[in-house]
Amino acid sequence: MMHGSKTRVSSRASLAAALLASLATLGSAGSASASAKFPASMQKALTNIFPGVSFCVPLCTACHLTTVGGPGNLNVFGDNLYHQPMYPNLLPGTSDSGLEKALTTYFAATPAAGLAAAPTIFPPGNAAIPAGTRPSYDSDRDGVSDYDELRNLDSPSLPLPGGVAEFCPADTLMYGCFARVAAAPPPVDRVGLLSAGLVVLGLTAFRRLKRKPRTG
Amino acid sequence: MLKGSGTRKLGGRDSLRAFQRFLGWSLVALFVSLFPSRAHAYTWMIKHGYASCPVCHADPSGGELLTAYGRVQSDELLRMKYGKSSGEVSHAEPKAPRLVRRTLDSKTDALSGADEEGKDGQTGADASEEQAPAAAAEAAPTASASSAESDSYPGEFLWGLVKTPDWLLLGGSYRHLMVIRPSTEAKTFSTFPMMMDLYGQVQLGNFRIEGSLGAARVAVGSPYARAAQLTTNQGDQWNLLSRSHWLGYDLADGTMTIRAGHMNLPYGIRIPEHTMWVRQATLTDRESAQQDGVAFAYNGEKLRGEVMGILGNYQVNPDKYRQRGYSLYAEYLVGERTSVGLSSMVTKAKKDRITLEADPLRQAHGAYVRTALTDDLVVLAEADGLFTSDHNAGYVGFAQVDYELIRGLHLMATGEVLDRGYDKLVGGDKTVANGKPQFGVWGTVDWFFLPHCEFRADAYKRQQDDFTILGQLHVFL
Repeated sequence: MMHGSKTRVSSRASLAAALLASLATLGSAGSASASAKFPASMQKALTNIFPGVSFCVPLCTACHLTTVGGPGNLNVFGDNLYHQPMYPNLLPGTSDSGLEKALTTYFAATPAAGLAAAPTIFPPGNAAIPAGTRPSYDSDRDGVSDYDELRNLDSPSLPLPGGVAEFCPADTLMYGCFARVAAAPPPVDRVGLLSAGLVVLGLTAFRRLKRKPRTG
Repeated sequence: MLKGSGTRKLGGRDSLRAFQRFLGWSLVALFVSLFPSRAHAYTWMIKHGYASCPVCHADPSGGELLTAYGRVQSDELLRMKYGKSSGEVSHAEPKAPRLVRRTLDSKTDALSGADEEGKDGQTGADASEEQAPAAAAEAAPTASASSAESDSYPGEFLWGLVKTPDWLLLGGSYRHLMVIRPSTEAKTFSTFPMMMDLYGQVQLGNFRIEGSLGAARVAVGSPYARAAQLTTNQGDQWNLLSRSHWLGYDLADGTMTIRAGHMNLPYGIRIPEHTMWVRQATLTDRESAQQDGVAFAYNGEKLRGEVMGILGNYQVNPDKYRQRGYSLYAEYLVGERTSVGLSSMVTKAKKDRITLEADPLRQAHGAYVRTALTDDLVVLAEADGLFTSDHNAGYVGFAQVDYELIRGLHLMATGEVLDRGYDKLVGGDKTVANGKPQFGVWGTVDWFFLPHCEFRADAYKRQQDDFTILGQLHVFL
């Protein structure tokens, strides 16, 4: 036989171990991976930093090379944000306010020598990001700072013109059969409802007829 | 039934039936309460002589729904046997007579070249597991004469609680995942149902209809589950999923199958680890990378393969994100338990749903090998070249060694490498994730501790990623 004599296993010990392993696995309530919360936190943070601009919940590609995300997969903007010296270790699990603080610090900072930068005019009205003109991070090196690109809903990681309106693209990726952005809720399909009702009534009547005992 | 099996030692027929009922109804309750996501192909089954997939799976290229014969082998070859040495268990014993008869009727043994080889190589009650298909088939007439039709065994659907007619295959899978990241300063532990799927297939003569239905709830922006959605919630609500649904027609006694619908892409080694780079970078995982199209599969004695014309994933909108092109693999059995394969895929879309870049042309071409070096040691390896527009050429590969320490308990070591190719659009300096290779290592313990119950623990470390431990309970119906 394939495994010969080495296969003898104590059934009680194995079953006990199996049950323990199962309990350990099922023993606590579920929640998705913490880093999956970054997109929603990003939307909240940017909405607070740029009041009046309507931000979507960005895809992982806002900071990562692919929609898979993950720390080993950062794009130029994500890499700058993650490694910028003023707010290091932007970790999975960082709170909404933590991410906003990181972004605010990032925008307010002057990039270190050697890092791509673009001159930016910061308007008054935000104490955390002082007004004035100074160089700011330009991750994609297209001559427009990340701050200005995000304010215009352009991608800070894709150079212009390719990155125009790519932070919240109009042709947003949608999932599900026939998924689309609807202008209004679909009207009630009265004919469909009536048809469905008739089918249900018909089936009920059929079952009742079938249940009647035969006479004679 | 189950004469001589270790299960008898756990309490005999009555206890087994009680156990079946308990497990069956517990699972039904679990599905109902959690509104649950799939069984998987185990490519290391080649060590048992199973180079071909449709013997055990409804999908001609393997994965998910088991055939009646696959259920027998799942119970015979996969799970741990308790209280008795497997050396004392003869796999020629008629453990599941009704199913074996059904297998004979469905001619599945004709599809496995390994079966014939097994017959030639060994004889008698000491037949090794490579012989299992042939031995079980040979035992069938005796079994049909001596066993009652009502006999059941734990490998059946819902552990034998529900009998299914010959024309109907049913299955399901629940996977619950724990993720531990000890080195992360923030949240270190999370646990969630990863998969809750039901599958079914109706066979009417040579005509087949197969589909899966599941549910998932993932965070906004998550890359997982989304592309399999049927319902259209884009937030963190529950969604109904279907990872596969197709119509098929068998030709030449099932050696060839033509299919149309939503299917796994025929490419590379069909491993269950959907996050392994080799599946993720080629977009050929079975988590939610399925596509709509038309496919032709061939499963001969030595040669098997499938080619699919990809028409796009119609569960992804709008149309510009749909990839169109082809995907194929061809595998040849070069020895008793060694096969080599080639894969190729070319797809084009107007916009890439993974990188959001415009007009991407994605190509992946590669080779793989599956080999059983000994009765207990299997090696799987795959290497693919990645050629994507606006990127330099890249590559991805993995090698996995699987050692079955005792029946049902596997130890695995995996190494992987990925270089996606420098993204010219993103630009910047070459980094480990962009233009430089990235390495990862996995250590795995996989334990099939009860019929259709698996506990798996993985520890992996990838360059520029946190050390991560995964614990997974997998119950498949």
